[in-house]
Amino acid sequence: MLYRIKKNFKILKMSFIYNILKEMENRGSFLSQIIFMTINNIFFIVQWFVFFGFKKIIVGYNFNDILMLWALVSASCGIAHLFFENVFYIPEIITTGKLDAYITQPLNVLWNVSISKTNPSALGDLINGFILAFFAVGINLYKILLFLLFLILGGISIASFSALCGSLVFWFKRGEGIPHNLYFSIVMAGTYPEGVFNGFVKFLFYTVIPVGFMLYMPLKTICSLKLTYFATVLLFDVLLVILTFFVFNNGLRRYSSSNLINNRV
Amino acid sequence: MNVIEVQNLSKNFKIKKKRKGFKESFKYVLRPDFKIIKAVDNISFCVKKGEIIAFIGPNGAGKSTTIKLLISILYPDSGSIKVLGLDPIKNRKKLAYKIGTVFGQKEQLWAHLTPYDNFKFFAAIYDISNNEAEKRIKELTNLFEFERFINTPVKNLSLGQRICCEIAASIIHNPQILFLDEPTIGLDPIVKENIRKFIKNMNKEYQTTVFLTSHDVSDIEKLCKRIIIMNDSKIVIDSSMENLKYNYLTKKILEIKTNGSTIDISNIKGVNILKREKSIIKADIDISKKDISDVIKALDYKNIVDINITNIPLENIISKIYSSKAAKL
Amino acid sequence: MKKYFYIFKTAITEKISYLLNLLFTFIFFCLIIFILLSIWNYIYADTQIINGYLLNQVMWYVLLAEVLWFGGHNPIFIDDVSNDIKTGNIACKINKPYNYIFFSLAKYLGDIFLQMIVFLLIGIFIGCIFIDFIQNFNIKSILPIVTTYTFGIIINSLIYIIISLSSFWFEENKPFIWIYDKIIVIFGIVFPLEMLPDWLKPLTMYTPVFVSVYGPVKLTIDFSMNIFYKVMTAQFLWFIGLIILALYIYQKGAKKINSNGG
Repeated sequence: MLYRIKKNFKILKMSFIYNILKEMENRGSFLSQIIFMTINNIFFIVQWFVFFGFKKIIVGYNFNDILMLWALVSASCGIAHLFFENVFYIPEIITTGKLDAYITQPLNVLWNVSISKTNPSALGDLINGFILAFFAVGINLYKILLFLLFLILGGISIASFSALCGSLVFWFKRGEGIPHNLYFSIVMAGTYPEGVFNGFVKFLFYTVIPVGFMLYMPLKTICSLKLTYFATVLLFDVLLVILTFFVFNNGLRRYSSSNLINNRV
Repeated sequence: MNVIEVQNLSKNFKIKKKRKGFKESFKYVLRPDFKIIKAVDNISFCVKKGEIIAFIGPNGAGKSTTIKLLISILYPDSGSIKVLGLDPIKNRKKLAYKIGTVFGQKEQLWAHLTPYDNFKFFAAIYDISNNEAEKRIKELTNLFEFERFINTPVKNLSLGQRICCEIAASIIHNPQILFLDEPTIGLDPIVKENIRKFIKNMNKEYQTTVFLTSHDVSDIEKLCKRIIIMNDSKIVIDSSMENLKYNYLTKKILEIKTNGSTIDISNIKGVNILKREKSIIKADIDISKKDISDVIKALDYKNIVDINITNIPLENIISKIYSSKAAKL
Repeated sequence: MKKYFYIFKTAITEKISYLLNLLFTFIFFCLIIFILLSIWNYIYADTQIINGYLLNQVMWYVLLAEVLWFGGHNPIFIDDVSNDIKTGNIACKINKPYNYIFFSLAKYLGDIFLQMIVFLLIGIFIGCIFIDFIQNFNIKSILPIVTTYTFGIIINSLIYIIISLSSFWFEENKPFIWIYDKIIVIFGIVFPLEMLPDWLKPLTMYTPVFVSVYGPVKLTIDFSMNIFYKVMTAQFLWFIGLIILALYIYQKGAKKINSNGG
């Protein structure tokens, strides 16, 4: 069992390094990607300035808290895209039959698929996250530690949820729009704190798009240092990952029993 | 010992029936019609260790589906499959360590990595230690003569070089069975010959069983001792190459070049004139009706300048089998 | 011209079978609408009017802008063109008897035709349920409004086509798409132009936001011939400019083709 975990991480490491090297080869493109990502993030900060032009205080949150929220979104998405970029391509991989190559290899299929692509411009997101976190909490070691913990958990949960939604393509055939829209929804939701949203939307954020668990609870934990939230977040993440693997493996069965678009008979 | 055992295997696909045109397409969304396609219909066969089998059939016969069923990509609807004693569905990972697959039209290699990096990666996937991996890579480099391009990214290689790398990567773990689905498609004759040589060597040295699908008849002729032909989702022929040729080679082709004067051979029994030009006559001879020696004796050899007697190409035999519906053997 | 209409029609027919896929995008569409409406509700909690907009006007703005954005999105098309260029497949398309730019435009519009209609209908339906009706909405202004919408959509499509043509020079053109999307979202959807800080307003007038989102939507919620003329002029100029740019880029790119072998 331990051996399997070691092996899977070895493969993850190799994939990651190979992908980074590939991107670095094309230096111009690599650098421009990072620049673009940072510019990207600036646009969202502009949003904030406009928003704060109208509302000086948001009930329950001060500006540092908002910075931390944005740090969490940025860094978690960074982790998801850095290590598990391919989860965002799952619909495409399923519909074009590229899954075959992964199935014939002696690795868990979902893990294999997820780690075989990297988006190095996500590094920009991750760095952004750290910078914002530093501005938010300064050199408070305990909070920084919690931040590190939550960005890893957040990254895993974002990747997992994207994989889960992408897996629906096993049943619904065309879903290329899912990862893109999902990502946008998560970032949108993660740009404004919970207090802004009314009851119904808040409910959605703890169910349909669980950013509540991915972002809001971690934020609450860091701000209040109450560990009850931590336990909930951890539990949610574990359950989410288990559910994702379960759904994907069931989907594999279906992949095997239906004639998807590019399957050659 | 049987390395592959297939019993009463069946696989169906459900396809939505699409209708033509704009208006019909709308109706189709609201009430789709389904059609069941039998891709594989109750087939059974066994493969022994060390065999090189040609698994062929016309497009749409069910070959790729069968291979995919054997390597756990598809799940069967009924019947049983045992590959190396394992059920491909229940023991997918375990089986993956023992088999290698090459799809001619799909790539498994990382395009931006060099063959060397790719091999290292695949070695890691198959749990091969670093030392072993280095040894193996060296072996493969010598075998395939990779030295020239082992450090060129795969995307910059020619098709022939890429396919050789794909094959090398698929055997890095010395699999017991190698599944090749159209490996030589689009390759030039020299590369094809190299690949064939390599497969033969591997089979000789390691007793690797090879399960080959190809539309290239010379691949089949030169490599395989046994041939399974699928047509219309059923197995129509399962025999050794020898038997196939013996049973189906009922005709020989006779080509005669004369010195200008006409020769009449149409009156010889069993001879069927195919082409007659000024000084060339081409005919086929039904050797079940007339011995070839008799035909030669009946020829007016004085006026013959050149003579050619050949077997019907295997291609024609196979085409004939393809075009007939599931015939009983 | 006939052949481009045929391409347009064929693209629609192909998409009909993917109507089910719209269901997913619809869920996200609704989610984002609810998020944005929530945000604006919150902002308007203690005021009636901000920068000339009443709450319901802002909400309709955001809703219609969102419709245009979702309806006009066609990531598959962009990927296809990029892949065609990267793999050299585009060489096959160059020697066909049509102009590649107009072919792409016809195809793009055909691709988004159905989703645009669906989102428009859904958007209006949601709006009628959750938002108060627009004051002074005059039915006579429908035709000019629809015209600006059409041009806005065409301009948006051309921009995406031009971005996908950047594959001739850049291996990764996703960053350009992100930047363009971000510009549209931040300056066109989340906030109407008037809400932006004064120093930002003049700049944004010259971005595609003005012609592809702000113009048509603003006319819907607050029609005036003055604004209509401004928008139409700008749209016309953008349209001509983009067509010329697209043709130019394509010509340059076609010369540069470096088909991959094998």
